[in-house]
Amino acid sequence: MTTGDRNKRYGLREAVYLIEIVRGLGVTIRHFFRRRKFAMNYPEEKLSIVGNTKQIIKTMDKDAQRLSERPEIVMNARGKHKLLFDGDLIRCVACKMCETVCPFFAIYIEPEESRDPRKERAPKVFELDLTRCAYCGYCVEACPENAITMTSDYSLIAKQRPELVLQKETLKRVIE
Amino acid sequence: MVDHVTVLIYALMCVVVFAVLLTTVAFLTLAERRISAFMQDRLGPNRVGPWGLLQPVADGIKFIMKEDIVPREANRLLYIVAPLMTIVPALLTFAVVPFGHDLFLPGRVINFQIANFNVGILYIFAIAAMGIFGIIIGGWASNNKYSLLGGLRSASQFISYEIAMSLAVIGVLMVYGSLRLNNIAQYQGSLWFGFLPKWGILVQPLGFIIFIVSVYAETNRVPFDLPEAEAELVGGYHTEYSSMKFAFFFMGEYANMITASALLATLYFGGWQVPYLHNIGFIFPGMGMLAMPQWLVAIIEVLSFAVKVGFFLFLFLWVRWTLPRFRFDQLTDLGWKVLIPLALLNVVITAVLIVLRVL
Repeated sequence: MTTGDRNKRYGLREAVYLIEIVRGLGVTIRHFFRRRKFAMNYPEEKLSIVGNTKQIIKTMDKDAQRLSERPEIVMNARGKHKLLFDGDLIRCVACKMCETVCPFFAIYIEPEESRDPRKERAPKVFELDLTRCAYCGYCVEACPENAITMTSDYSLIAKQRPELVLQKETLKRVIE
Repeated sequence: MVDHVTVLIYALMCVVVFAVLLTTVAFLTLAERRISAFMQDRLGPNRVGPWGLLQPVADGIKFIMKEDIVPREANRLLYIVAPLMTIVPALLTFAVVPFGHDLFLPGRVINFQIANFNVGILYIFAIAAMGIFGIIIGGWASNNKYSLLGGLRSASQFISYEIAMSLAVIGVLMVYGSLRLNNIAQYQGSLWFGFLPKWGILVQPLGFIIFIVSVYAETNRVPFDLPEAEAELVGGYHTEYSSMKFAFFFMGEYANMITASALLATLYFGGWQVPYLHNIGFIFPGMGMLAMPQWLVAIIEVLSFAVKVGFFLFLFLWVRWTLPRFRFDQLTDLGWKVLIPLALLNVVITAVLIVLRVL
């Protein structure tokens, strides 16, 4: 992009103005026919955060479909949370570290006895209120069992508020 | 002389032209948004229907559903009349625009034009001038300082440009010697030096530039959209208007654009003329001819007119998203100190050329 020079002496070409108009029209028509647009067709195309690089994923892209169905766990991504399961067993031991550290009181845990012989407790109820959550990631940092993570899924849309209060089952993500 | 069938044909033509005009207005609003988006590397509205083609319908429904607010201190009667005064002249002016060759049917001649007035151009200027009253009255009746300023600007802009515009057209009238737009379009089919079609742009290049600049001011489009100047005057003359009343102002602006484009095409780009196309087919000077049935010629001519109007409409949008707005004193300066003298010069040059029998 060129900017006007304040000290430049403008000559006849600028004074007539018409030639400059035509040049300006040339600039806009070039952009008109340019294929690359910066706007995205949002629900079909999403800006995905994979690693630290941003890339646009087109509608029919397999990655995009995978991403929308099973959001990847990505370094530094601060999207919707997931609770990790080892096969059938939840990793969480209901220690309430995340509930304690959460600055917004978005997490509510009710413990029960674990079915896993190695662990004493497991959450009977694990509620995560996304309307309160600020996606600070403190819960992930606080977790001693690496049981909670955040994904790159940032499209958190609901028609009613209760849909944004996530339960243990909706937060489930099985690790093979 | 006038039989029932002819009346019926013209009535039908009225309905068709009206429908086409309003449809074009609707899609022009979409085109404006899409084209502006493309020029700014965006996508624009593409959600409603394929390519966003149903967006005008959605907009229309939204306009009708909106609350219709009349300010308490406004002059109620004038406030309601003003939008109508804008849109009615805008739609009326199209009546004299020809969009095809006369059609010779057995027993009657059909003009491809709703009304073949002998004062065609004067009619357009007279009716188009009425549209300004809608803006001025709307600005005054709203009882709002921004609206009033918009109306005032519209008035002074109008007197700066209308003269230059009329003077530019005088050049055309001198060359073609008729006020009937159909005759003007017809004369542009004749050849200059035996091979060059006598289009207005070739005969009146200076007049064309003056006319197109004035037309942009006349239709309140960028770079002369001072009456609505949203950066300075909120919404200008339609600040207080909402719902369908606002839509009428909006449609009036776009209908004016279409008429202006049609006028530009008719006066300077041969109207419905296609070079070397006559009533019986193409006749190339010194190269033989290509005969065609009359209906095919008519279709080609209407299409050619539509393409020309479409080009000028695109130019309107193209210019809008390219140029910044003029300052108000610059605008009146340009009108009085540049365009009017140039238009007078154009008249003199044309007169001299006509006396020398070049034109």
